[in-house]
Amino acid sequence: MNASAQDILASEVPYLGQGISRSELESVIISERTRQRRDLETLEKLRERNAKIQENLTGEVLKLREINAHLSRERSRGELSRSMRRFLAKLPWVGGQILTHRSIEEILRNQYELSARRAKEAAEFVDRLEAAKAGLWDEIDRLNQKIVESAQNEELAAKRLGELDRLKSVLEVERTGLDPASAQARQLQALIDQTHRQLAEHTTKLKLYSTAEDRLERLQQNTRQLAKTIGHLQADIVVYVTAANEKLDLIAGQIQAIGVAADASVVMFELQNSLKAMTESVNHATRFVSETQVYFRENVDSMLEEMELYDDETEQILTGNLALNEGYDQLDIAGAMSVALADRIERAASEAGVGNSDRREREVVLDFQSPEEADAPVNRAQAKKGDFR
Amino acid sequence: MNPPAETSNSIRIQTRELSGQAEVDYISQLERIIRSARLNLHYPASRALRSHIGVLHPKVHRGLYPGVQVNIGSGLPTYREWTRAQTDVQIAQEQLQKLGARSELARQARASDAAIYQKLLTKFDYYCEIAERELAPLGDMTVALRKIDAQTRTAYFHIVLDKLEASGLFVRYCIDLAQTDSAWNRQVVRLDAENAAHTEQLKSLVYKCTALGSESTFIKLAALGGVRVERVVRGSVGPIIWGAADAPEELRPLMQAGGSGAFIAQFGLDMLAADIAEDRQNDPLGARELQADARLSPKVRAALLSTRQKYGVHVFGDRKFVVPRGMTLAMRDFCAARGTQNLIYSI
Repeated sequence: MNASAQDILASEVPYLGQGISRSELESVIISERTRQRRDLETLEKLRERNAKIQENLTGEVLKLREINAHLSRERSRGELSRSMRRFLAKLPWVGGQILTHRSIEEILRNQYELSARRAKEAAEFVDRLEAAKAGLWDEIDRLNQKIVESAQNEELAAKRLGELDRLKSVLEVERTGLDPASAQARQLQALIDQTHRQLAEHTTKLKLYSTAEDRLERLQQNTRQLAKTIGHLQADIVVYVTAANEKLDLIAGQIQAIGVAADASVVMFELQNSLKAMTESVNHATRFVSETQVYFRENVDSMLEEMELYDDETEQILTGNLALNEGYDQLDIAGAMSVALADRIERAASEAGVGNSDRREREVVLDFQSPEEADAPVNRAQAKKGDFR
Repeated sequence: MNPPAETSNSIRIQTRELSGQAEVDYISQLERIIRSARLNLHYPASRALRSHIGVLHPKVHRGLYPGVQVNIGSGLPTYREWTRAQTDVQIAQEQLQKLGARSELARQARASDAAIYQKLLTKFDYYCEIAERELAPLGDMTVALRKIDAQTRTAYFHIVLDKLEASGLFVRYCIDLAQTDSAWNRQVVRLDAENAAHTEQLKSLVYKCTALGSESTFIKLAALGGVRVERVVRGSVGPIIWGAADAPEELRPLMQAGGSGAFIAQFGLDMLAADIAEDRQNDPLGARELQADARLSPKVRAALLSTRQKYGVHVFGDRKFVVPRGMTLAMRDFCAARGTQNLIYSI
């Protein structure tokens, strides 16, 4: 048995990855949170920019109304000039000459160039959102790898703990029948101590891997939510940019048409068309900005709040783990193993397609390795993971 | 230049979309033509124009845009394309800041299969290349004070308006006018210390007049109280005819004889001033270019003539050409047949 015990104690657990410690786990979480904060800051900036655009759009709508009023005046003046032209045939430059208003074509061109710039900036922003989204999905892939790795390591740690726990029981039984001062008893005591030491070591690992799995999963949920938010936002902006560009193409053609049209009525017609398209474009932009603001309110704020809560919770858990790292006792091992076991129960039940409320079904599908574990499922299954972290 | 790929209607402006090699050939040829035209100060600034055209070159935008839209009437890129280049140059610095370091973009492009990183890297290089580019103004007016005559309370100004006309041509209007300070007239140019600033009234008027040609502009300005117009010069870039099918009737035989690489680039100049001794038309295409003047009724033309006589001004019309080397002689013969001697540059 001693030789076998020594073999067990000497064997290495094939943990995946580069090992785990509280500081490493903290570092992974911090770097991920930094990335999430940066992306949220980008969204925050967009919100600020949106507010500014909204302000500008209000000004542009007013300007378009002014042009409209001007156009109405031009039209009535056009009617007048047509009747007056008969009388003023010898003075062809008097009729319709308006010196107090800027050229409508010039105003339209200025507005067009301004709108083209805004549409272009929005298109550039779409690309940056696309990159941010791609980065977040890459990060989700990386987190998935870490989560799978942590889950596998958790299972390895639990298996090792079970092995060590059984070994400890056997060694303690063997030692009971011996003279405590005998060399064999001393040797057994040394093995029991080594077993204790390894139990402490792997219990800590089990807790850390379990914590890592859970924390990373929560992080991943936030990252996924962020990626989806950015994706939706990007899709909305693409719709806006496409619609705006279509309108702008139309307006560019109309502005040129206004310039080359010889007939005053055609000019008026094209001006009205152009004005209508421009107003539609601005209205579309206003609607988009307004809807985006609602979207921001509904998503970014809640994500920020959740992030604060998560950070507090994580800090508490990691502090708790730190306390556990500093000492070891039997309760912790039992607790840690219960958690691992509870996980296995959940997984087995889930694989069997059993609902969470059906505890008896979970007991049936479990495969226990030792008699000590035979009466454990109900109690362990009732243990909440969080109670031991 | 390769034959056009597709023709479409944009309201009333006939346009053509060029992409791939046709786009490369078109932009490259356009740059060469503008350089070869040796444009003087009466024309839009050649260097700015070439720099602006350069932004549209596929080598510069690196495939970020699918092609270029050409105004068939002017043979130049459409207003949309000029604005696209202008917008990109205007936002370039800001976008470069937002894109961050190139090394980081390059690292992301190497590390990920996502095409967006490569696109952002391409954009970075594009914006870097165009950030400092000079642009041809699409509508910009400057006023400079030439001299002041204190005795007659008259100030003399030189006005320059650069504009992409609705017809698709790039034009420069140079106007010399004298303004007399009078309680009866509203000033069109405000003089503040050494600076002269045009009023909205003047800008609006000149802007509207430009589509009418130098003659009409002169007469409209002359109608303003307190202003004496001394000279109006209109220099235009274009139209450039790229294919026989798009050529006006009188130039079609030339284009057909020129073969597949034929083109005729025109650079018109019309001037109206009191110091021109007599009317002279050295433009073989006369008033047949894309101008509103050409479409005026005989009645209005007669009214214009009488106003011109009243102010004692004369007109001078000229036009220079850039054509492929093989078309030089034919072009010269064409001008000679119409009694004009024109500058013909070949490339």
